[in-house]
Amino acid sequence: MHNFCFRAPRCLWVVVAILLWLPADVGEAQKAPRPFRIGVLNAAWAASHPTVEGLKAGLKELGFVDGRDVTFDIRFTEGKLDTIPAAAEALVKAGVDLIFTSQEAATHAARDATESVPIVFTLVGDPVGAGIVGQLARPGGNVTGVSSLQTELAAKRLEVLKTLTPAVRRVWLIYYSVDLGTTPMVSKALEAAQRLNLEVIPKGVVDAGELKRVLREVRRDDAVLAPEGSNPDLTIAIIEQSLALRVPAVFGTALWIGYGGLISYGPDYYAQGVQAAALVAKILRGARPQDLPVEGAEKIDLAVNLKTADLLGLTVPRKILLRADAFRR
Amino acid sequence: MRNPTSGGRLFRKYVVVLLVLVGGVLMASSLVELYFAYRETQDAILRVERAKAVAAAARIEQFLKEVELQVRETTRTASDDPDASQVGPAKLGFRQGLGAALAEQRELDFLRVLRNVPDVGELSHLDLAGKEQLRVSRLDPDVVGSQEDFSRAPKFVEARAGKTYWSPVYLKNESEPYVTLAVPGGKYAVEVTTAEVSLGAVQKIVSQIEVGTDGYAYVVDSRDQLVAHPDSRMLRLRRDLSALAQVKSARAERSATTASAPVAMVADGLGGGQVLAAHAAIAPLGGFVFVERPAAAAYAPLRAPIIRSAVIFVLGLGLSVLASILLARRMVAPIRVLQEGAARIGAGKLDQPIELRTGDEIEALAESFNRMTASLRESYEGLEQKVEARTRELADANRELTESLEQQTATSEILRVISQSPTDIEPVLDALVKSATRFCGAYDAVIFLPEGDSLRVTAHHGVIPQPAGLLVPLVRGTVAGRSVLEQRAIHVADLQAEVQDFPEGSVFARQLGHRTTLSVPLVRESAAIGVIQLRRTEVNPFSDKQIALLQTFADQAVIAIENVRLFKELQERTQELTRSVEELRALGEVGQAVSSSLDIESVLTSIVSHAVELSQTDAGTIYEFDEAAQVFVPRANYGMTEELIETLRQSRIGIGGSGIGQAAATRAAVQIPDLESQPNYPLPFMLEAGYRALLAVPLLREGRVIGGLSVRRKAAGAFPQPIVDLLQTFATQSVIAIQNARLFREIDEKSRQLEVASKHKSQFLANMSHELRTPMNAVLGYTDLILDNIFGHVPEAIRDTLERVKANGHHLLGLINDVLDLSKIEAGQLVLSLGDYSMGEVVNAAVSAVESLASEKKLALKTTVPADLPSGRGDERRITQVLLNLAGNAIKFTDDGQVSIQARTSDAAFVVSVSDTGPGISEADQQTIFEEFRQADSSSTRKQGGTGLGLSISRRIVELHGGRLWVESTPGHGSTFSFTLPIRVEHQAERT
Repeated sequence: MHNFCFRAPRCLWVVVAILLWLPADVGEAQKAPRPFRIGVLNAAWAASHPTVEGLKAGLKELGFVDGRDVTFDIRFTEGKLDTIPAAAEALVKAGVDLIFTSQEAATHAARDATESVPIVFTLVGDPVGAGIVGQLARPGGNVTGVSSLQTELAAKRLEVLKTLTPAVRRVWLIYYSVDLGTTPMVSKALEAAQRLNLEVIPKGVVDAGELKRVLREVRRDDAVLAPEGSNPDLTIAIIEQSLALRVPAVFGTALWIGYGGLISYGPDYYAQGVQAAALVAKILRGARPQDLPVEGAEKIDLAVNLKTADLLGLTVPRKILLRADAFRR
Repeated sequence: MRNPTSGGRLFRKYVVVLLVLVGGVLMASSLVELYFAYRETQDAILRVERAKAVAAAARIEQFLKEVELQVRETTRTASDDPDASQVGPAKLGFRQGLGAALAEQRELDFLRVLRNVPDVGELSHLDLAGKEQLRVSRLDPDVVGSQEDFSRAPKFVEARAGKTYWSPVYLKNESEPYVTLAVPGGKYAVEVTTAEVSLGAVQKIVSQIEVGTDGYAYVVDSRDQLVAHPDSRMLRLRRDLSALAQVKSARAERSATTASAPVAMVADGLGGGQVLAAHAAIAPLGGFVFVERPAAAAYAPLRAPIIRSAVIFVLGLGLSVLASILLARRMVAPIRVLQEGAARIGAGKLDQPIELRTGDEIEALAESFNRMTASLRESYEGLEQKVEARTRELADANRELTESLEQQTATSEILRVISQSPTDIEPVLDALVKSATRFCGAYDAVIFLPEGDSLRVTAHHGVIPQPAGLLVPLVRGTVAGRSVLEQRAIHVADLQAEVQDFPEGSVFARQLGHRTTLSVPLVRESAAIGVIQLRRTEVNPFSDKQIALLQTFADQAVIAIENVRLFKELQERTQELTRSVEELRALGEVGQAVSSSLDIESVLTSIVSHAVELSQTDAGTIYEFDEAAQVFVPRANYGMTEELIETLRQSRIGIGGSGIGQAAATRAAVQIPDLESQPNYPLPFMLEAGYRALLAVPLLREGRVIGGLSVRRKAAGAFPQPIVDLLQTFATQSVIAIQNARLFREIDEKSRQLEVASKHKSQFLANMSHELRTPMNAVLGYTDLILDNIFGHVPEAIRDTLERVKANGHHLLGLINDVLDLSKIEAGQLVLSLGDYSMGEVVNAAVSAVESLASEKKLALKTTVPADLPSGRGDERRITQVLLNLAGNAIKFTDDGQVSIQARTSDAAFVVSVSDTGPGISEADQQTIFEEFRQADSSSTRKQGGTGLGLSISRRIVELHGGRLWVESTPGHGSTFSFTLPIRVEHQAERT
């Protein structure tokens, strides 16, 4: 009897104590994680390359605040391709969580530098042709990114050129012969040339000097299809030469229209950065790069430099004007 | 008896009932509350999900509508004239121009859509026949008038029917979802504009939907194919979702066309596990947006209320337990007081009434208890007195019983001591006096045993001093003495006062201080063998019971004393018997040695050793008397060192001088109890070796001294007669042994001489026979030459003579050959030449040899030889010789009748028998016929001739083969000679 009287309260207090202690355990405060470090690798002349800006904007839109959730370690080689591998190594050594690259050379360098750090590329013309990924839907390895559809757009570019300058019969297809991804593009262009009643002359070059030698052969009623790729020197040289020689030239992106390029058809750099930001965000949230299909650039723009057209004595047809996303007067 | 659990049980019942009432209600309310909370939470979550799904669906629809609107915009230029859409050379006039203008306008419109709507990748225009007239693409070159036929394609068929057509979703590059939109153009929908629309935007919308931390949204199209999912991998991995319960449910709802609000549900999620799923339809696509949250995460907000409820429940339960306990205790307390009171009554405490003031039935019950207690108390008091009286009686009886039990125990204890101590009387008597003192209530007890004219104190126990071993005169003046003498118990009340009656006893009593004295004699077969006495130092006579008890102890003492006496007697007898047995055994051994051993030394050594041991002396010697030198020569010694033996051997012991000399002189045993007292003892070294006593007996044969036996002892003293007699016996045996040995020596010598002689004889015979044969051959050879007329014609008269010479010569040669054979066998020189033979042929050979003899005497010669006799191994020539000899003998000694030869096998041996119908051989002659130069009848020897060596040789030959030759015969009924031969003889037998 007395035993029972004493035991009951003791049991009770033990139970109460356990229950009081339990909720304290439930709400354990979560530690703030350190920000993700994103390494950026390209051959740009400045840190504010449009893709990088696009990336930053995209990430911000997706909830990653610069400085709090992400930090950027931007390595640009000011147009020098030979220093990219060292920069890639440095990024890996710095222990970044992800490498964001632009164009083939940087992407290759990053791939060579690491097999574990995820890589998200942009401005790669043909990721499969360049040997960066196996398949677009299943990239494999630690790489994914946004394709700038160089091969897919080759025919469309010739068409744009033809629409703007119907008199053109011969197109010099200049490409950076170091980029492996250009081969399918050349084939596609040659194939489209027949339908468009054009003669396409592919010319692979490695530098501006060689380019200039090639362009000496350009005649009246010829045009140039300017390359997209790792070597911006070539594009600059083509703009200069086309203006100097009064030869129409079509470019890969609207960026060059601002520098005097005649017309461009292709993805927007900034938009690619934004698009790639979604991939980056997924990877930062735990997805594996090999599970994310390579995306084609979403925003394809047509841009015309009316001033250059005037210079070349060209009348821009309605179709172009109607379709064009951007003009430069 | 008080039952400690009964109160507790009632208490527990109260507690349990109260607890069930309070706790049960509490638990029920908690559970109900929890259940509703759960339902509300679930509803809330599903409402939120549903809202998100609806919002997402709305956005998607809006997006699709926007695209549709943009595409429809392009059709505003479409003509209502069916022909206007046709572009081709077949069309003429203004229509052609109009058509061309319209076509250009359409192209521009298409380009605008491409510019304005980035999600549209391609636009095409189908004419009323379903032929493609224009295609404008974002990536590919534009195509004009491809005339590709889409008239059967659903997009054309549906749109042609005036509807806006959304195709099922398909993937480009395996990862980018696209849908085809077809809108009819113009009033009559004669033309169709189609557009490839990227659903990347849908994907984005879906990705942006936030549903808690783990929730997600996805879209399926009209065929339940996954269209958009935040994880783009899912598009590849799990496209077909028609099997999911939530998809089925949504599909069913839609087809039911009822206006009921779409419900959310719990189902298996896309990635497995239970989810809370809500959906909303996307009208254009015919698909749905699903919003799901894993159930576990969704219910996380419920955890806090559950814990809260549990805490409240437990606290409430605890409180109700406390309350129950308190309440129950209040109710149980008066019952407990009653119970304790009842327990007191039960325990016999009747002086404490139960004090209870509750004013109810329980108080009345307590009063009843108190009244019952009072009446109980009264009846107890009467009962107690009776019990007390009865207890006293029982105690008395018990004491007596205990006493007698103790006495029994003591008696049996003493009997046990008696049985354990059969040889020693002390422990028994000690136990007796101890028990007597105790059980008879005496101060001490003494046992006296008579010793001459006194009584000796043998056992004592008690406080009165009594020196052990004290001798008390055995007189009537002491109580003990009188008791012994009169053989009855003497009981004196105050011995100190009995100066007249017990003069000596009273003196002792005064010295030692005892007064009342009781003595009981130990009587055996009407003779007192002791006395047991009890004493007290005050005047307090022993009771009859105590006297009777002491009598019992006295009887036991008698038994014990008698036991010991009998035991000692038995032991003595046994010892005597043992000694006799040992003597007999020794004599037996010596006798055996004498009869079994011819080695005189070992026999004599055995005799002297036994003699020394049995006579319990230390050393002994057997001498042989050398008659020629008239001295005793020691032949065997025992118990002496080599040195001493050598000294003894050097001493010249003649007749007369020493002990043995005297014994020889007197022809009787002589003993010298102490050598030291013997002047001029001739063997002083014996004294030096420590020997003091000597016993010597002569060895006599037919009155002549042939030696002596003497034993010596280191302790001086006479030898008892049995020892002397024993030594005489050994002396006699020594004589026999010496005599035996001498006889055997002689026989051995003779045997050796005989053997040598026999060998010489055999050798002589062998040599002789050989020497005789050589000239004999010459005699026979020349006789033959003469008879063959080599030396000229021999006249008839001389020829006849010469024939006799030749016949006798041949006989002599046969004799010589037999003697040679026998001597060879005797000398061990005959060697069997072993080889395989056929017994049948042996028999045939023998028969053909003796056949002529048998026919001469007109005797029938029969043979019985089985055809299947095995081949034998042995000396065929010798075996033939044996059979020839036996058959020849049979024919020789048989005058009429028959001779039969039988051969058979038995036990791996041939048995060959030769039977005749001759005169037979007597029993006595059967023994001798096998000896050399013997025939059964000397007379017939003359008549029959022969050397008498044949049988002897035959037997030896058979024996050399390991066989046996014997005869069975009855005079007048013929004889049968048989021999056995082992069938396979591999070795010649040793000569026996």
